[in-house]
Amino acid sequence: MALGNDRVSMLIQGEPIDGIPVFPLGIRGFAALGAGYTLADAYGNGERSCQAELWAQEQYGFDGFPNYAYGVLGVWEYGGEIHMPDGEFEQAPMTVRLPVTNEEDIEKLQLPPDISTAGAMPVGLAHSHLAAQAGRTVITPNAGVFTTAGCLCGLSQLAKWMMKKPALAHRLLEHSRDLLIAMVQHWVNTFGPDILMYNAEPSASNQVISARHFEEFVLPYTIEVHSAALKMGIKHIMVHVCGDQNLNLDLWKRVPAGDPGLLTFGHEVDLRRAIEVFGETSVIMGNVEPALIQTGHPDDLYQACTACIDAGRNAPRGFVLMSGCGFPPRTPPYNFYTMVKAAREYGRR
Amino acid sequence: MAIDRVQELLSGRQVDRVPLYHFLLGFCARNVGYEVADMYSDPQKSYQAQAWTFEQYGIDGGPDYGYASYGGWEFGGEIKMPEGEWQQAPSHVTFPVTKPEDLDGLTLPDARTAGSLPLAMEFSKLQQQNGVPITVILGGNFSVAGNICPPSTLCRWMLKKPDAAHRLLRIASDHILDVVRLWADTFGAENVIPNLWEPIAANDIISPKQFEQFALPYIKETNEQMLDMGIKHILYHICGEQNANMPLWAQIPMGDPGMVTFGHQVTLTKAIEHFGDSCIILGNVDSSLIQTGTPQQVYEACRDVILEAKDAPRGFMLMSGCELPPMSAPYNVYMMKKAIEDFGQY
Repeated sequence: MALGNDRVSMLIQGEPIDGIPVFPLGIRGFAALGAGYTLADAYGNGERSCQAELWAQEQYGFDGFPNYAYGVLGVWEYGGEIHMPDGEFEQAPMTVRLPVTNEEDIEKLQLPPDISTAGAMPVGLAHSHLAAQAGRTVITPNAGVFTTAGCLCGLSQLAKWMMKKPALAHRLLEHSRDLLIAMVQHWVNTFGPDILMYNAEPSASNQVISARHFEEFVLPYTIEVHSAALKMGIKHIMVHVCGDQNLNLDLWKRVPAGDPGLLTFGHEVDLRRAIEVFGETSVIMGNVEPALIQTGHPDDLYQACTACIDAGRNAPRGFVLMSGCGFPPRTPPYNFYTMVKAAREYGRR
Repeated sequence: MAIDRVQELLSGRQVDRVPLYHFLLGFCARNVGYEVADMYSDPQKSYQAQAWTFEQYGIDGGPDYGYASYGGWEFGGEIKMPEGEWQQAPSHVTFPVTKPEDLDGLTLPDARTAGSLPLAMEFSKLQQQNGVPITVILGGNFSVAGNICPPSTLCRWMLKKPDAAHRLLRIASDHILDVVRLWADTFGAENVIPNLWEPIAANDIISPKQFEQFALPYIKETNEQMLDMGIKHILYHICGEQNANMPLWAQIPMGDPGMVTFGHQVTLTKAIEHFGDSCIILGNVDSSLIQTGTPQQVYEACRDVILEAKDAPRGFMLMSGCELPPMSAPYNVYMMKKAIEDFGQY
C-alpha cells in the first residue's frame, strides 16, 4: 500500500498542493460525538472511531488522515488497567491501575507476547485497517518513549526515580522503548513500510522535566526508536512535541524523523523558532491553542489561525495548520468549521 | 447566495437545487457553543448562532425567533427558559387561564410590551439590518388559545363549554392580528412573513370536526385579514398528524405563494394535491430520526422526501418535520445537505 492522497500526505511526498493544509491533531473524540457515537467508542471501538473520523473529514473538508492514539497508551498493554471516558468532563482514557507500583514490578514487566492482542492494540489495528481500506495514510498509534514510561509507573514516580534511582528510570525506559519498537514493527508487518510512525511526548515537556533530563532520559531512547522505525523502511515520523519544549528544541534536532519528518508543536512554542530549528528537514505543523479552539469566539479563533499561517506558510518543507494539542472533543462545531475556513481562505497559495 | 433561493421561489422563479430550509434553534446554540436558552432570551446571540450555523451547513433562508409555547407569557402566564440536558425550548410554568372565570379578566395584551414580543421585535430589527426576510413567529389561532389555557382544558371546554372555547379563540385571533399589524407598521407589510405554528390542532389532539368548528373559521379569518393588510406570504407549520384536517386547511388562504410545512406524519404527495398549486411545500423528515437514526437512515429518508416532492408546482424545500432536536448529531444534519446535493438538483 502507499500513502493516501490527502494534502498532508502529498506534501510529505513532495507533490504540489493548492494551499495550506489543515489537520486537527487527534480529532477522534470530536468526530465520534459529531457522528452520534460516544467518547468511549472513539477509544474502544476501532471501526467506529475511524469511521467517525472519515465522516468528519467528509463533512468539514479537512486534510490529513485518521489516527488512533491516546496519552496513557502502554498501561493496558503492560497489564495495567484503564478507564474509557464517560461523562461530561472526560475526554480520553485514563489510568485506573498502574502496571508498576514499586521497584520490584519493573523486573516483572514483560513485553506482550502478541502485540495484536495486547491492551488497546486490537482497537488500533481495527482503526488502521479501516483507514487502509479507505485509501488513507496509516499511522502507528504509539506515544513517545518517555511518556509511555511515565504511564507505566506514574509520572511523578518516574520523575522521582530519575533524581534518586536513575538506573530504575533507565530500566523503565528500556521497557518502553522495546514496547514501542514492537508496536511499530507489528504495524509495518501488517500494513507495510509505507506508513507513518507517530510519537507524542507530552511528559517530556519543560513543564515536567528539564532540558538536562531530556538529554539523559528521553533523547537516547527516542533516537533508538526512531532509528529502528526508519530501518524498518518507514520514511516519515510525525512527532508531537507537546507543551512547552522550548528548551528541548535543539535536542530534538538530533532525533531522526525521516525525510521529511513531521513536527507538530504546542502553542507554547514560537513557530518561527521551530522553523529555524527544523524547517530544512521537516514539515512544520501547529499550533492553535486548544483552549481557544474550544472556548474562544470564532473571530478570535480565525485570527489565531491566520497568525499561525503567517508564521508558518514559508516553512521550507511545508506547513500544516494544526491544533497545538489533542483537539477538544466538545469544541463547538462552528469553531472547527472556522478553523478550516481560515485555512481555505487565508492559506491559499 | 443561500437566502436567494427562498426569495427566488417566492418570486416564482426556478432555483438550482432544492433549498434546505431551517427549523432549528437549540441545535444552532449547541453548534456555536451557546446555551439553548440564549436562542430565546438573547436576540443578538440567537441571530448570530443561526447565521453562523446556516453558513456552515448551507442552509437557506434567514434566522427566525420564536417558540411553540407562544401565548402563555404574553397573556400574563409564566414560562421557563430551557436548561439542562433534556429541555430544548421554553415551557409553561403557569397558564394565564385555568378556569372559565379567568376569561372575564382576560384582556388583549399590548403587542409592544407583552411577554417575548420585545425580544422578537429586537430580533426582527436584526433581520432588517442584515437584509434577510422579516418574520414574526406566533402560534396558530388554536395553539395560541391552547397556550393561554392548558390544551387539556381547552379540549374539555370544546366539549362541555364551547362558548368559553370560542371566547378564547376570539381573543387569541385578535392578538395575532395585533402583533402582525405592529410588525407590518414597523417594517412594511410586504416585507413581513408571519410564521404560524399549529401543533395543538393536530389530530393526535382534536378531531377534524373540532378543527372545522374551533380552528378553521378563526385561522381563515385571521389569514384573510393579514393578507388584507398587505402581507404577501404566510408560512404555516401544520404540525404533527393532520391528515384528516388537510381538506380544511386547503380552504385557508396563505398568500401567493404561501408556504406550508408538514410533520413527517403527513404524506407529501397528499400535501401537494391540496396545496401544490398555491403554496411552496416544505418538509418533512422525521425529527426524531435526525436525532437517533444512523447517517444512512437520515440520508435515505431525505432522499425519499426530496424525490417525492421536488417537483411540486410552486416549489419544494427540504426541512425537518418539526424542530430539529438540539442534540442531533452534526453529521446527521450534514446528511440533509448531502441528500440535496445528490438528489435535489434541478
